[in-house]
Amino acid sequence: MIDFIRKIVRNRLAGLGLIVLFSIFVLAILTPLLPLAPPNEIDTPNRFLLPFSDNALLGTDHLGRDLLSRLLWGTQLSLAVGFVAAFIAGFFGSLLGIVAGYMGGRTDSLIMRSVDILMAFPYILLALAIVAALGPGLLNALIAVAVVNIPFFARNVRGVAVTLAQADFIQSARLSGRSNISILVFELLPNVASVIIIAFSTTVGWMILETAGLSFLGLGSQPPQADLGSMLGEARAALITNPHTSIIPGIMIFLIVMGINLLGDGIRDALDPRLAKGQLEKPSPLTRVSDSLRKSPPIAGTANNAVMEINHLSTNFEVGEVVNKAVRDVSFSINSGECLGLVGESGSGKSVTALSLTRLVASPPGVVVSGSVRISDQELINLPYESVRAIRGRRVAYIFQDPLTSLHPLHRIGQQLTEAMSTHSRGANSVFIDRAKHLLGEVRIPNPERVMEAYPHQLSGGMRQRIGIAMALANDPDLIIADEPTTALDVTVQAQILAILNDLRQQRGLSVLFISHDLNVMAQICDRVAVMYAGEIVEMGRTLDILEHPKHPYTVGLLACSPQIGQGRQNLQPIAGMPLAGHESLNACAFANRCSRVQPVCQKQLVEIVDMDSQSVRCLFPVVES
Amino acid sequence: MTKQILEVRNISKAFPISRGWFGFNKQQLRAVRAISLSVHKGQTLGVIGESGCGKTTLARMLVGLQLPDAGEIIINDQNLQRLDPVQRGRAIQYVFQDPISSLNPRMTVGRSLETPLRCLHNLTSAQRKAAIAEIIHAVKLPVDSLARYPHEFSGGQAQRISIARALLAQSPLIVLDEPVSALDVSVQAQIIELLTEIKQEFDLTYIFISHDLAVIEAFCDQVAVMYFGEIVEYGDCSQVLMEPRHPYTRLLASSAPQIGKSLIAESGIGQLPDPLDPPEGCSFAARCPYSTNECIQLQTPRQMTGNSNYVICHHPIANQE
Amino acid sequence: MLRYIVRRLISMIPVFIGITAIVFLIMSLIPGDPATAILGSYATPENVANLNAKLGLDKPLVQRYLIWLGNLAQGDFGRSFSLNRPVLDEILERFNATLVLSGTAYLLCSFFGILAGLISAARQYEISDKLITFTVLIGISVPSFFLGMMLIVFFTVQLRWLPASGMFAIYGGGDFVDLLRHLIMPAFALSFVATGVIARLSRSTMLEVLRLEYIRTARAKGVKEFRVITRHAFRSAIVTILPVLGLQAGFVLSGSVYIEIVFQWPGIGRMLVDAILTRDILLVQGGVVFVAFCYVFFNLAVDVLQLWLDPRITRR
Repeated sequence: MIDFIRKIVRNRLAGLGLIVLFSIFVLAILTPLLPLAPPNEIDTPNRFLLPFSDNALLGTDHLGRDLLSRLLWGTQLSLAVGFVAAFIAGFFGSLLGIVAGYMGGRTDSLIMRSVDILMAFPYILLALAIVAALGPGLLNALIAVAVVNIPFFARNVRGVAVTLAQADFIQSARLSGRSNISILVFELLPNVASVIIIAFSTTVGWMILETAGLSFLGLGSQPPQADLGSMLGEARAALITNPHTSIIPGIMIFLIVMGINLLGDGIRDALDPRLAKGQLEKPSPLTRVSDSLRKSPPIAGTANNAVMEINHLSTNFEVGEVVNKAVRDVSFSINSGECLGLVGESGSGKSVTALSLTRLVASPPGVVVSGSVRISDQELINLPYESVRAIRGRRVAYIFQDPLTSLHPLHRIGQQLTEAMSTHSRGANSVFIDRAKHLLGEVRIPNPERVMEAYPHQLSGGMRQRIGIAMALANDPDLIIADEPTTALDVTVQAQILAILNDLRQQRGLSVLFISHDLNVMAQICDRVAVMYAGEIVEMGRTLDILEHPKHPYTVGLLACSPQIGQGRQNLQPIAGMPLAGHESLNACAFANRCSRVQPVCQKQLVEIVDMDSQSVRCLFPVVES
Repeated sequence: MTKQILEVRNISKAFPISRGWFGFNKQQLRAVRAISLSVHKGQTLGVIGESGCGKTTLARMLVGLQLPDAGEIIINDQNLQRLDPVQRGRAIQYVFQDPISSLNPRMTVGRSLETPLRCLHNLTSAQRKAAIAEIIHAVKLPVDSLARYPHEFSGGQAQRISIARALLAQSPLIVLDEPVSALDVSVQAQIIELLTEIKQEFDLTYIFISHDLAVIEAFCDQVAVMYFGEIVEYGDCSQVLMEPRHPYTRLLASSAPQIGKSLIAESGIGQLPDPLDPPEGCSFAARCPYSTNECIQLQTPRQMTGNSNYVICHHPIANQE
Repeated sequence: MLRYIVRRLISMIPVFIGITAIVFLIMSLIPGDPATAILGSYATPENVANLNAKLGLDKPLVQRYLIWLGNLAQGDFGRSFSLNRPVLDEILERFNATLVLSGTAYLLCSFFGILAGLISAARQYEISDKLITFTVLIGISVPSFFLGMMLIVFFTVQLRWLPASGMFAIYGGGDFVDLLRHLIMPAFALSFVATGVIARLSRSTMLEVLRLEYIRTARAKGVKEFRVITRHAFRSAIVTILPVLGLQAGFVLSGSVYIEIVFQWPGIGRMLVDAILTRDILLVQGGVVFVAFCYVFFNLAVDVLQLWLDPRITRR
């Protein structure tokens, strides 16, 4: 609990809200004990006293009643009514939502259709109708506000419950023999709780406003009893002559609701897992470069025949104090017409490396902390945004992993293709359209005309990835970076995509950086391979050499544990242990803790990558064949 | 041959796609059509197929998470539909593809593991502790795992927890639904090794569902190849994968990337038929290089190709040569 | 498209029946009978019974509902006893005024809300974002009726710039400029809260969208940042914002009740409150049903717009 409050208060405004709200609550609770004038005692001769008068700190109203006293009693009443209404709405709404979401089927439609009908009323109409039926009065206003807000809770909670009811862990609880009721209470409820709390904290403010509103209209609390709303309502007649009688309760409502809203935001932030991961921050168009690197930019090197040359590149993910070193000191170059493979398991830093090359790593949290990326003789790391933008898609183009999520769902295929061209060159749209159709033909799409008009969701995964390839080819780039382009696809489709890529590569002499976790796929398409582990390149060389004569124990292990088809039943030899977590700082060989050939010295020093035969290896005791 | 532990007779499943108020206007989306299978004790049956072939629907019907529209599932001579949830949980268990999401994020691992012992076997607290300690050891998890929450574990470790939970239900039959697909190769091999070990130790029978030919080949005794809701070829694992008789099986095998062999890619677009409007004849006919009018118009016959091996095809590959 | 609209219209029949049933049911809960309310407490029991029979109030509930529903279908909303004129005539006259006020406020809050959210997201943590966030916070925390009252105190009492009540000046008014002068304050007060809600939603939706992979694709293509924000991110965000915009119309309509009271605007909200206080049941019933129907139709229009903006849902 204390931990939770600390989390909330991390948002400073929420802390402010907490303090405001807490003070008001304390005042409201202590009201009966404070030395106040009786709130309903009429003293007409002393009406409309201004604030700071004798005996009336905040003045008096049109009947000469003490405003401070009325304000505090009214606050107490408003808070009580608002919260009770919110609790009632929250309880019944959540109950309906959970049951509807979990049960599904007819129960769900019945409940949700009823809720829809309730939501078909602008909320105040329903509240007015209820008050009209029950008669004006604070209790009736409370009921009206509660009823009107039930649909809101029901909808929100149901939405989450529906997803959760299908979740694997609910299913496995069922398989473990739990009954429906027990699943609802022990498995579902704890997971819905945060949604209910968020919905509650964001609606309490509304509910207080709504009850105050009904009282303001004269339909809530009845004289002489007054909540903040009816104080405002009564003061309205004297608005022009004595505005202070209106301002005082108005400001109190404002303070309460603002306090609740601020606190509610804090609670939401604390409970929403996405915020903790920095997922609601706008990624800047260009990965941030660390201050030290900006101050001492890489020195321009000698030009050679490489399309792209990467030296000592390091990229971190920095979330608060936590630094995760995703890419550590990576160097390689891609020659013209060559396909270089970057292979590694998840977390090895291969994708982050690929994105770092044109500074596409989402930032925050990504930061490039060292290194240089050179395309021909242009240094990308200290280039301003506009120049990097001119390179992206024009000289370096990307193909991403999941073609469904990486194509814009609401733009037509044709639009997306022509945009890739019109971004970098001027010309008539018809020229771009013709070229786009031609490209679609090149990636063997049978009906380019029709596909141009289609949206991504209307196409199959294989078709979408063909479009991804066509889009990358749009500007005849010097280098194509393919980031796991076949991982999301079925094998038969993967074979087709690989064939297309391979043919295009040969026809057009493309240079490709191909990223994959699958050595078998690598073997199909790459001339050279770099194996990554824990953010480092541990071995690099010609594909055949690496596959047939791996020198790094990790590469050896990786090959031994990947099942091969055509080998029949086989025992795979797993690599023991788990990869290094990225934030661990490195002062030993990164693979030492899993290596079967480890020696004491491996744990004591950093290991440099060295050339060995035609390969480079980062190992003190590389595997040498006898 | 050992005793038959699971028999599936002609089960099928279609999902109604309902629209409009109270679900009028229904259409059927075919997921699984008339599948029959049998598994013998101690064997591992692999089920392979690409996305949309219905393998997950099949798996979920086997454990009772979904009811078949027609057909029967017999486990140990008992009809699954007639068992209550507790009996069902004791008869067959399920390991999910995504290990993290199959554990309740708000529950400690210890509590998740206790559930099957309490709900399926009514064990006392002391008995539960002992049983969990034993299984935790068997799946090689650190003892302090029990007090931790799922998100603190890596994928491989979480999969060990899921496997432990399935073991605690003490059912002799476990459906493994892509248990290693979400894992890295090195961890994948660890889990497969573990599955092999506990199979011996606890005398288990597996149904192993995967889209990965190489994994199936390495791990399974029999294999059933699924395409568009049907089993198109069944038989001894190495035989089927080495000498495929169904054109689809051959396509799968030739599409899988292999070191030292260049790929043969299918030339067409390679899409599945529309599941809302399935073809009358062979569902692979539109992609099949050998298809004839027969294939498009007639129901496809089952042809035996070995002891218990069969293929559902008008023109199995070997017959042509 | 047309088929979708027709289907939606058909599917609205149960909604209409539900709305009328709920309103009728709630109204039938009112204790005492309208005849007494109409004739006053000195009426003889015979007169009361006669009037009840004349109004059809002696029949069973379901039958009365069906009769009322039948009348509604023919456009007969009954007769208001307190105003002594047909309910529908009064409603239509009042609804015009409400439409002018709410419609203006709605356009204002939609436009400024989305714009503010967009700017706020595109310039996250910069000064414009902070300024907008602060204004929005005040917007969602202040009661609209209180804001209205403060506007009157400031602009009418202190500065004497704008009129504080009614829709037109009593003498010499009636033209468009006059309407505008009367409209500014209530429309602003009414839209302020809704602007805040929309701005918050737009901001968070934009931030979510900006994290998606296709935004990264757009950047990888070299698309200019302004275009990434507008053509890529905003294009998707609007699909999420639109349904909430539809619901927001309900909030604006609801808020107009308070604002109409504060600014003496001759709209339907004020009519309803008066009708409740005088227990003019037919007027309340008619007013609530009428506004609810309009709201439902408006949301249908929003759905159609949604369909047009999001090709992914065309299959329905």
